[in-house]
Amino acid sequence: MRILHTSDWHAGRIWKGLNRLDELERCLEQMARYVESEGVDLVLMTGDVFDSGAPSAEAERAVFRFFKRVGAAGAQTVVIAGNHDSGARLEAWSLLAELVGVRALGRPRKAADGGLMELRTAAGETAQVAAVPFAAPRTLVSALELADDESRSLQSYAERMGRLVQSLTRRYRSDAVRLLCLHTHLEGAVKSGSERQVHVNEDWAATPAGLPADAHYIALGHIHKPQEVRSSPSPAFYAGSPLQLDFGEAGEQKSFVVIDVQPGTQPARFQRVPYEGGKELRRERMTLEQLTAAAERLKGSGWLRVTVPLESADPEMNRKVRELLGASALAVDVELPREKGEQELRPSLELEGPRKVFEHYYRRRHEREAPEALLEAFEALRKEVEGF
Amino acid sequence: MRPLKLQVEGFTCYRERQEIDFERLKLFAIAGPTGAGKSTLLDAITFALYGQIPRMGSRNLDEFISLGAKEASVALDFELHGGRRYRVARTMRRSGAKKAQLEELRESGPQPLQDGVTAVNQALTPLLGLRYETFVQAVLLPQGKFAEFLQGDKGKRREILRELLRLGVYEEMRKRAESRKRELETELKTLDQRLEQDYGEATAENLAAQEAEEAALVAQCAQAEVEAGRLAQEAQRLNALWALQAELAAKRRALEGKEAERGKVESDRKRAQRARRAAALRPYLERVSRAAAERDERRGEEAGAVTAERARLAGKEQARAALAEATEAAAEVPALRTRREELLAVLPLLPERDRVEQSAKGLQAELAKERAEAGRQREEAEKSRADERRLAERLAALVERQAALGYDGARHERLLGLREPAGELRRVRPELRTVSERLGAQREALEAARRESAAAAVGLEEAEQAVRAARSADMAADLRRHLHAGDNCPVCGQLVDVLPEVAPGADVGALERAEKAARVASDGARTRLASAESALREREGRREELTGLAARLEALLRESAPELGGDEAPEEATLAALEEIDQQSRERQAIEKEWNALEMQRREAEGAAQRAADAAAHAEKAGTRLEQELAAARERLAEYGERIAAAGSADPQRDKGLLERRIEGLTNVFEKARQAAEQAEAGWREAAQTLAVAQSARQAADLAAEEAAESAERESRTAGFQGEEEARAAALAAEELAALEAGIERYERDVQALRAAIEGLEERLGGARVDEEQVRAASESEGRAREELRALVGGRHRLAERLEALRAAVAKAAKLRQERTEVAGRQALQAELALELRSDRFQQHLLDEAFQQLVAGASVRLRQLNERYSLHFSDDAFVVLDHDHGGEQRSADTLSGGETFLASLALALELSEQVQQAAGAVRLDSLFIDEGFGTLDPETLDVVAGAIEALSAGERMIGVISHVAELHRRLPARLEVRPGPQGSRVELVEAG
Repeated sequence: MRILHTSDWHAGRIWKGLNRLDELERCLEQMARYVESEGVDLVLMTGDVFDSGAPSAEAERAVFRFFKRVGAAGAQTVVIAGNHDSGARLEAWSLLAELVGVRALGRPRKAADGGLMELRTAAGETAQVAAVPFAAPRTLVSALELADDESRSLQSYAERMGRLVQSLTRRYRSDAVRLLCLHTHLEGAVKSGSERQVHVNEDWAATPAGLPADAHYIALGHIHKPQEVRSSPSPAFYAGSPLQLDFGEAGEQKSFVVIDVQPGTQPARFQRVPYEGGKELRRERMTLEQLTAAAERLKGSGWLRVTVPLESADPEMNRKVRELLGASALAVDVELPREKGEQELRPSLELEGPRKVFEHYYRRRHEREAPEALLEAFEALRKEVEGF
Repeated sequence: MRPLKLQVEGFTCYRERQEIDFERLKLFAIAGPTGAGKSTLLDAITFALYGQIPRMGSRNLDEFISLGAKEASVALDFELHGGRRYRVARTMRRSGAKKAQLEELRESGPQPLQDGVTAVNQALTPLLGLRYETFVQAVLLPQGKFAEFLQGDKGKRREILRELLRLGVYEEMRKRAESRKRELETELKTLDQRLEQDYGEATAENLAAQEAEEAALVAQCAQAEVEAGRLAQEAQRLNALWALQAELAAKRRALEGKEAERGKVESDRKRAQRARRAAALRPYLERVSRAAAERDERRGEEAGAVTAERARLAGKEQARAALAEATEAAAEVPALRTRREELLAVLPLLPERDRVEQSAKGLQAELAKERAEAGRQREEAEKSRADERRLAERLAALVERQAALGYDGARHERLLGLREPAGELRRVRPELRTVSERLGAQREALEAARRESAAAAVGLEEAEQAVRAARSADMAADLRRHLHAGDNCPVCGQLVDVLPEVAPGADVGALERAEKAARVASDGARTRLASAESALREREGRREELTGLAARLEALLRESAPELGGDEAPEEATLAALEEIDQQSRERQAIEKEWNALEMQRREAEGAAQRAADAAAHAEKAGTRLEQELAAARERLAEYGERIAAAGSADPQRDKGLLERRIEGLTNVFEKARQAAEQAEAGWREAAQTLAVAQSARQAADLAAEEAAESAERESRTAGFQGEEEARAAALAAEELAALEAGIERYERDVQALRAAIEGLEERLGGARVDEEQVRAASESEGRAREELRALVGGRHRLAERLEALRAAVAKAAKLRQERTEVAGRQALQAELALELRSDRFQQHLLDEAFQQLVAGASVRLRQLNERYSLHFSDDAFVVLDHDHGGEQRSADTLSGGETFLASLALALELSEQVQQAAGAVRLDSLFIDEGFGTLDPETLDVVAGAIEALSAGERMIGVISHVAELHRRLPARLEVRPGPQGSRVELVEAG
């Protein structure tokens, strides 16, 4: 069985005023061709299909076009909602998408209700796909109440998540290809910086310890940097986003994952296929002269963030650089030498207490040290007024 | 301040009472269509806490009462940092007073704290720690006010910060410093006064002058002392001379006295000489005395011994007489002893007699008992025998009755065996009758069925025929219908020239139906016939069976019970006979039972009689034996009585005792007398011996005395005395002699000494003479000089005291001065503090610092929200740097809506955060943002939503008013406000 794992498209994302849907479309086109020509049986899309819960029509069109093409090629698709997606909306269009072999899950469900999907390929192989869309910490509890009645006693998100995964993967059979799709932040993964912080005020979202050991492949979504999570008991990969979404991802090689696997105990084989649609994001630090020299090369090479070191402020710099580089220059910043003396350590009221601050003030104002007696009198008076 | 529960009623759109529970909420949206009442919820909270509403201030609050409602009421339960919970409730009427109440919610229930608007307001503000203006800037960020901090008035900003950072502390400190300063000033003045008044005198010069005075006085004293000394010396000298003079005179007189005594002294000397001589004779004289003394003693002893001997002799005689008396008396004893023996022999008989008497009494009683027993038992036996006879009679009667019954057991058994067959026969006969009857009827029925069946068959056949005919007719008609002239006949194949008429066919259908009915009928009839036949056969069979059975039974009965005769119905007879014999058997059994019972009783009675008789005999035998024993006892008793009487004493025991005592007495007396006599004899012998010894001793002593006197006389004469007597007279005791001689010597010595002393004194005086007058004068001068000295010394001491006091005062003054200096120092300190703490100095500095920090923090936050911008402050206004456009600086006023929003949010959040963290500052446990998120583009909205999500990482409750669905989706819960005809409703929806 051949499987293609992709993730984090963020279709419809507007960033710095840019709509990069055309780049995404190129990536989708590339993947669709791959599915058609390389005989992919199953496509796993692990979340953040869209950038928001109410995406633009163009974004939807691009995505649906991809699904339809893939479906027409005979491959089946499994989609799970990410934290950017509206799970309800996903499940709404999935009713129709089923017709082209696309199954989408908007929120965690019991195994029997769709949490564990069973697919047969054209060749007759069976795949069991346990699907865990993103669930915010609070909602994971009610989702879990579906799965198991001991959910109330579990404290941490990680434990709850582990339970949920376990309840789905418990039903793995040895005669099927066993897969797990998960959209979450897994402990040990390296972020790019552009991911929205998903889990606030909770323990780690999920630990590799909660993952099954008998899965052939665990498809992960949410992190934009493609990576393997080595601490997982079964092979686990973040496919990563197709595009470099933020300057923090500049230089990352983006790729989707292709997996060849059979039912049974033989391990799967993986390969990474680079995306060919996205434009590079580049950070450049150059003087105006250097920029002028490299302008032709830089223009059109991608999206640029330019930082120009200067001795003194130049209000015209922004305009000059943009003239040189055109639309490629997304952000222009200048770097001025730090003013000395500004970094003088200031005592803070809460850290060091009023007395220190008063000392500092006195020194500033009178250009000499405050007499000890005065400081003591100050402190005594303060204690008296504040009571501590 | 963290809200727990809000109740509103009659408050603008919330006409009906709504209750919102905030306890489980942490991060939530307040959602609903425009105008539904989202912002009103926040208004309600503000109103509850401050009696004011952001959009209206505190005037025209009446407008907030719902249309048609008489009053608006709002109650808010909230919690302060530290866990204390309170409830504030306010009501407002259209044209009436506003009411307010504040309670503390404790474990035990609500405790009222304040009542009335003013009191509640006054109590609440310090509790909350925020004034209204600050509240709406830091906790409740209301619509439109958001950007106020960013773009608003400088002074207001400072005020808000000042309050939030509790800079009021420093103002308080300044005030205290100021007041301290004034206090210290007063103290200084007081000190100065004291120094002036009390210690003006205590100067160093004064001290010096006094000291000089003291020195002078000391010198004077010294001088006076010297003078006094000199005078004393002179007086002393004169005195000494005077004394010497006196002494000389005294010595001379003494000597004269001594001379006068000489005569006596000489005579003493002589006496002493004689005494010496006499002393040599002492031993002899002593011997004389001793011997005389001994002689006297011996004489005395002898006299005593004589007296003793006489006395003893008298005693001896007395004792002899007494002994003779006692011997006489003791002659009686043997006779007494004999009598005693007699009595002794009788004594053991007494208890024996008593015992036998007792025994006899016992025997008598027993005897009586036995006799009585015997009598009783005999009666008993009689009674039982009578019973037994009676019972035997009854038994006999029973036996007769039984025989009369005439029961034949064998027959009974035989008949029992026939009970069943007879019974059965009884049942069979009527059944047989019934069956036979039925049989007849059945036969008739069968006939009928047969006829019916035949008829039905005929009918069927007819119908079949009709159908066939009709069918063929029909078929033909059918064929004819399709036939055309010129066709070939389908049947025979011939050419058809002429079409025959189509005759109306019979209704095949009806005929077919008729046929079917007839078939059914025929089938039915046949079936019925068959069943009737089989039923008949069955019945006949049964009748056969029954008949056979009846015959068999009858035969059996007749055979087995021939005696019952040839009845028509032998079973009846059998059963009747059986009945009778059953009855007999039952009777027989009853009789037997009774007989058994009676027989048992009879046997018992018999037994009882026997037992009684035995008992009687036994008792009689016992009685006889007892009689014998009694007789024997009586005999013995008589015997004892005789013997005792023979002893001749009513009470032998007592008599014996008396005798014994008497015997003892007599023998004792005798013994004693004999002993006494012996003793007296011995005593007398002893006394006689003593007397002899004393006599001889006396004689010896006489001799010795004589001899001693003679020798003493002799010696005395030899020594020059006339005789012993004179010598004795001349003797003197040793001490006396010694004293005498010593006296003489002393006299000589004294005279000698006096002479020497006189000589010496004369030499010492050396002819000088002094008279009394001189001496006296010298003494007087000395006296005067000493007086003077004393006075001077006194004066010096007083001066020294005054000096001490002055020194102390000087020291104290110095200390006071020191104190004053110190107080002055402190006052200066407080003054400086008060100065520095002025609002335009340290407080200003703090504000500036806080501001800088606020801006720096907000800038960081802003960059986190949106990499593009950072926030700065210069010239009392905020500016924003655009890092996507070369760091372009733009005034905050020129930002777009979305950008302003982000910057304001960053500031507001930072302000909140800083205020939280500042030591001692008010804690803001909740934050409400009422802002038009709808104006934001998706990218900015995304950023803002992210920021709000990140906010919930703290402990704070964060409520966001918005109608943007995207935002709702990202918050875990929301309060849905829905407008309705009766007013708006609020419902809690959890994201899922």
